[in-house]
Amino acid sequence: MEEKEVQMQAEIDQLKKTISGMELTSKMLVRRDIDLRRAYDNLKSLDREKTEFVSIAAHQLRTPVTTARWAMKSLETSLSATLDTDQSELLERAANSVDRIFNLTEDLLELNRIDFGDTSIHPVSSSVEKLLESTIEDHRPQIEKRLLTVEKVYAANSKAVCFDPAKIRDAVDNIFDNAIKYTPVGGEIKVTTTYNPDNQLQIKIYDTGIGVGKGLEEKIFQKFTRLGNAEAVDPNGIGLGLYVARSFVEKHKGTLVYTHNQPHGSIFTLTIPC
Amino acid sequence: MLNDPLRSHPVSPNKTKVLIVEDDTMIIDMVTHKLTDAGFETKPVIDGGQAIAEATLFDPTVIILDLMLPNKSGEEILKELSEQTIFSNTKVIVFTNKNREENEAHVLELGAHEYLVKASTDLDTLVSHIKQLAG
Repeated sequence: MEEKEVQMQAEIDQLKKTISGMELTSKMLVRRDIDLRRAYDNLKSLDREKTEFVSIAAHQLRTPVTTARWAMKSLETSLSATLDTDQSELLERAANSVDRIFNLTEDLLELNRIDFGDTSIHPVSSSVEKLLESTIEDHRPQIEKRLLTVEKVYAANSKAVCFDPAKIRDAVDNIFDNAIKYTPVGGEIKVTTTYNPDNQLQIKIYDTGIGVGKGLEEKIFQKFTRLGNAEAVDPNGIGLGLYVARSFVEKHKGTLVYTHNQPHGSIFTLTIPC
Repeated sequence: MLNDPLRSHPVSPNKTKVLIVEDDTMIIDMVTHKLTDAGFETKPVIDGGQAIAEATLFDPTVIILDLMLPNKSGEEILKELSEQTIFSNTKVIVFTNKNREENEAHVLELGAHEYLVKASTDLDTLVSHIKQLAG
């Protein structure tokens, strides 16, 4: 009997030790949790500060870049008849450089708005085919310069659709711009619209360009992504265009996906409810 | 300099008057040059605090108004313009680099007639908007 009591007392002591150890571990876990929370809050705060800094810097750049663009356009208009070929080329390159800074600034501002969740859409009833026509016309000089053929196949049952024209225009512009940039001289681009019976509008932009490697179809929509073959053609991009385009389409509860064109090139399919 | 941006151009009874309320002298310079070429009579104001007084004296048909100004914001100026009957026929184009999504609805509610973002508006477009508003 006495022996049993001694054994029980030993077990109780062991149990007390275990409980005490568990309490200590529990306190340490709570402390660790507090430390992790603090670290997380610090990181969040740093990230917010970084985003705010980018926003302020981009906003500050906007005005001088705007006036530089106006000045370039004014010079191009007033001097076009008096400049020789070299001077014209120099002016054009300067204007292109200013445009690049402008596009970069606008992309960073857009990225910030998306990351802050500040992007909203303002849908109005509009024609997507008109929007596509206007996009193609705006790119006409580059299309002609690269001797590209643009085929248009618009749906016979086309109708007015509710969408934010500025946002969808931006998305289409990004895709179309890439199609022109990455399609070799003399290549082909095709633009189609389809209105499906399940109330989905589909815009497809095909090109016969460099395409995207197998397994990288989703990666191209991540921010700051530039694939090697794209960088070789255009080293100046920062890899935001398709990220922004997909964000805008998703704001419309739509999708933007990439598929391979055959035998080579890309197909971007933009689908929104209509 | 394309011209002296801080001086109004000669008064002519037949010209549409445009008051440019803007604190960036480069922008004043370029807008003034463009509008003068397009046949408008212009007057620049760089201090938001002076905008209402200058508008009263100049009696413009159209005001081009920046939002971020020293001493008085564009929003405050819009509010004061809408409270004074002498400006009931004056058209206001807000010309800013502030994001359209965050500001357009508010300034239109305050009485602005148009909202143009400088970065995405070339000067020819600005001229055509002024012509349209001036009738």
